[in-house]
Amino acid sequence: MLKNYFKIAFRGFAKHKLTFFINLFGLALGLWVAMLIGLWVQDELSMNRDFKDIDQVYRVMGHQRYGDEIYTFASTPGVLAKELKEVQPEVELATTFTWMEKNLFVQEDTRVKLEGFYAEPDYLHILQYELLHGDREKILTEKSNIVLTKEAAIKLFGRTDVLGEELVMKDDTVRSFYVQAVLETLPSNSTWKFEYILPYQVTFDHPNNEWMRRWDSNGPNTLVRLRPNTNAEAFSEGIAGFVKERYENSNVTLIAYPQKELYLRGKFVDGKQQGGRIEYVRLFSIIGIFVLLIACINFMNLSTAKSQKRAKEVGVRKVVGAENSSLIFQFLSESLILTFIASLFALLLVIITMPVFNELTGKTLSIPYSEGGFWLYLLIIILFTGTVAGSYPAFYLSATKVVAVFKNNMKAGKNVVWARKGLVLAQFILATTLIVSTVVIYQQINYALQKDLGYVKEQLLTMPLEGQIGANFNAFKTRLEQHPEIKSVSRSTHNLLGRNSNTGGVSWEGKDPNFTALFEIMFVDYGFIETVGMKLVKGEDFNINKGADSLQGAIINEKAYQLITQGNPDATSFSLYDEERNITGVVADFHFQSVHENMEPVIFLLGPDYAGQGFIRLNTANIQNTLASIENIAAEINPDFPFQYSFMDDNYARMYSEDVRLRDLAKYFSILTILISCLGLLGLSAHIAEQKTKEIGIRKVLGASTLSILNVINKEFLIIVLISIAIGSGMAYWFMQDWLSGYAYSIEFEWWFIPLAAMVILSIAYMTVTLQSFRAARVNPVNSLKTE
Amino acid sequence: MQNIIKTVNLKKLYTTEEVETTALDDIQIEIKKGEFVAIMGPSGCGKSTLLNIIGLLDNPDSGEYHFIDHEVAKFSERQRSQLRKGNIGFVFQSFNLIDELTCYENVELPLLYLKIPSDERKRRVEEVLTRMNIMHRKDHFPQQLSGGQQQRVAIARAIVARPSVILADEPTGNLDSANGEEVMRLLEELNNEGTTIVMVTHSPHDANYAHRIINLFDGKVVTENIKEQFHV
Repeated sequence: MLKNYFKIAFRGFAKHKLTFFINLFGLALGLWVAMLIGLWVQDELSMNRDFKDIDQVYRVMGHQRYGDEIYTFASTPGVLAKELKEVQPEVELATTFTWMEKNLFVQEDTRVKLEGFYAEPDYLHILQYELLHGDREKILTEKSNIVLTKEAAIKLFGRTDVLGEELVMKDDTVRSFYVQAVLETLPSNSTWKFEYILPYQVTFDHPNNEWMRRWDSNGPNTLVRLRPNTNAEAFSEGIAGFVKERYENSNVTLIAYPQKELYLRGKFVDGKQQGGRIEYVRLFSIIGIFVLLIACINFMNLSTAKSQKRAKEVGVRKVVGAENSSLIFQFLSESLILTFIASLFALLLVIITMPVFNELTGKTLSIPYSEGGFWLYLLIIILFTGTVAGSYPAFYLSATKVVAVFKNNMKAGKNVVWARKGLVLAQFILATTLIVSTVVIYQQINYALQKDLGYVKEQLLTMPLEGQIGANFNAFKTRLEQHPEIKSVSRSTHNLLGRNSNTGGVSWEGKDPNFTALFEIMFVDYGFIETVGMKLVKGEDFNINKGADSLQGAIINEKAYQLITQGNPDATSFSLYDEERNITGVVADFHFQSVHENMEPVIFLLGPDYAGQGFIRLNTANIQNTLASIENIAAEINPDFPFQYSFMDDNYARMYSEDVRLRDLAKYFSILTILISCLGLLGLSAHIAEQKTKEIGIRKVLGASTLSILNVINKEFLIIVLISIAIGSGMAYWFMQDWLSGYAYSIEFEWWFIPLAAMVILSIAYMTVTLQSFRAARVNPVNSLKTE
Repeated sequence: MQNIIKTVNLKKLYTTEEVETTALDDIQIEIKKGEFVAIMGPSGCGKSTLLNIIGLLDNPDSGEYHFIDHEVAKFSERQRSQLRKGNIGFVFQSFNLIDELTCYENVELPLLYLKIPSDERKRRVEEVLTRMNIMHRKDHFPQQLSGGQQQRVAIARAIVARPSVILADEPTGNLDSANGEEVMRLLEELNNEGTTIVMVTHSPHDANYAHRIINLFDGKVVTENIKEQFHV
């Protein structure tokens, strides 16, 4: 019997080639998208989780209240880990680790910049990265130790068996380290991409880092592994006041947050976990399922549209003894066969498009051929798709009333026509939702990229001030400023691309003692305001001729000025860390974070020695030549370090890479959805045109023009498409309002987004249907009426 | 002789939103095992409805229907399907062969649903195809055959499961006279071998093959002609 079903299926495919092609193509597209998204989601869900005993690993973070809001930071006091391990019996292992930084390493003639961080010995016991060489027990115990990854070892030495080898790190000093361990290539599903680890003690003991030894400053991160069977919630509550017990004025409330959750659920709003990357995972999972459903809908649609042809077969089979169940089984197996063939094409598409998809998503995904789980997932998708796509035709067709078999007029019931229209409606609702959303995302990103930031990001070059440039900045600056196409040069501790250093320790006359606001602190050199192009509203920039005025003064932004002058409009000073500061200038508010965030109060202090980020204002039509000149000067002063620079407008745009990714994905999904929907529309209109052959014939005999006949068929679809545009726009509005609310500064949902999307959809749908109806309208009625 | 089909006060109504039509009204018929009965009447008189009910494809709204030894008027679709399988063979005016299956496969279909083992299937299919003189076209698809050949395949399919009753709905309606004649001879031959045949027809010539003619008009049996058995 199964053989019989296969035969019927394959002969049917061969006979109805257009239907077969549309079904195959549609399902293959749907499966292709579902597979790509499936791989992506799987990768996201496994991020940072593939470590031994990861369930016991917790990140210790701090809630801090400023104003009306609670901010949650991963930065903690640099002495926290050690103290936690000593005091809290639940803590089995604890480590402090610092932020990622780039440093220059030299090994004989090889000079390489590597990215890495400082950590305590427990780090590699808590997160057990695979060791290629070395003894885990001894790692990072001495200040001269360094751990390299396999790739870093190859970069420096050209090989991996480098235990005990010496290499030199150059920053403000020159220090030697000896390779103590080499790590295997880091797992691709881990976000922390480092090339080396140095002992935390090295940075902890550095004279500049006295603050790391104090309880009132937060900087490095703290990671702990709790003993098995520890109640993590109780532990988290137990350490809430841990910092306050050691520093009375602290506003830090500690929490222990599962390390494995941090990647997907790491966003906190007002002290509560809320959203995060998991939202994207959900969104894309939904999109994947939707695209697959749309492909299934096409299949259902075409299969039921062709039901008249199949009804005879069903009738005959029933007459000769088939039961409903065997017919359902037959039709389901048919759709499963088709889905299976489609999945082969989809797999091929996945293989071909994987590099592009990886670029789009910023991942390094590959098909895990050797993993049983992948094939199981594929099988589940095929079974799901085949069953969903085949279920409606199967149940509908198997229920064909067999009595009509004698009259030879088995027809689809009215409810089916409605169901079919409903399916088209659902497809176009999805298509509209995606298109309108894409337009909104495009607009918002353009808005963000073009928004006036409060400084001039164009022609503003920025570079790290390393080695001799840092030490001899003024010489460097003077040389540069002699260049006719360089307007000015300055430096800062802050790169203007996100929070850096901030404090709640600001007070002023008339301030409510219970109110604390978070001020961003930026140490800058003379001429910084002018160089980055901020607008001075009051006062002036730091000036070398003003001496102590500049040194003891401060420039603040309008947000800060509003706070300080709230109770006292004539205030001219405030105190920072109990030190009085005169306000020497006020600048217009500016964005130092992405427009997802509000503009916040800022204090500029004169502190050139801390400032490691150079800013160079160009005024040139010839960027290349000017860059070459800067590079030459940098190479002269700083021969050890390669010249590295970037432009602020590029850096700023990079802050939106996730949004741009979302935009591009939404764009491609819209195109795909429209494509798949139109495939369905094409097949369906072919069928309707066929069904209406008689009506068209009669109309033509009675004198109807080709155009009016076109309308007979097109009208049906256009009404459906119009309704779906209305519903889809509503859904898009709802989704996008929610998405836009994630931005502190956003566009309004403009009314013209909808007609724009509507025009795109309508014209594509109209062309698709006309392709079929035009053919039907031109048939000679003599031929069409004869067949009736 | 034993009744194979017996109806008592059989009634069938068709109801649309506004109109109620009586398709069959108080039908009483008895058909004995081995009989050849023709049902005649103008279009719309209820012939097809009657055939549907006799063929266990539909239920009457009221009355009794005895098929072999069962009272089947209230049977569910599933029960009817079970009883139909192997007991009734159908021959249609438009042949109703499945286009995607070859002649052989079309004939084999009822045996597949009866779960007959494959050796036995092959033997029986080849036997009936040979008998219908169509064995040489067994691997052809229906569209590759003439109307007469298609109807011979359809008859082969109807008899392959060795049913006790064959229901034929205008079996010669789509055939020229020579092919029509051949089909009627085949039906007569089958009847001579003991198969009960109930045939709906417009053709007085075809009706002459039957032992008895039941005339329907407006859903009622108006006359029953019991004829001498004769051949044209």
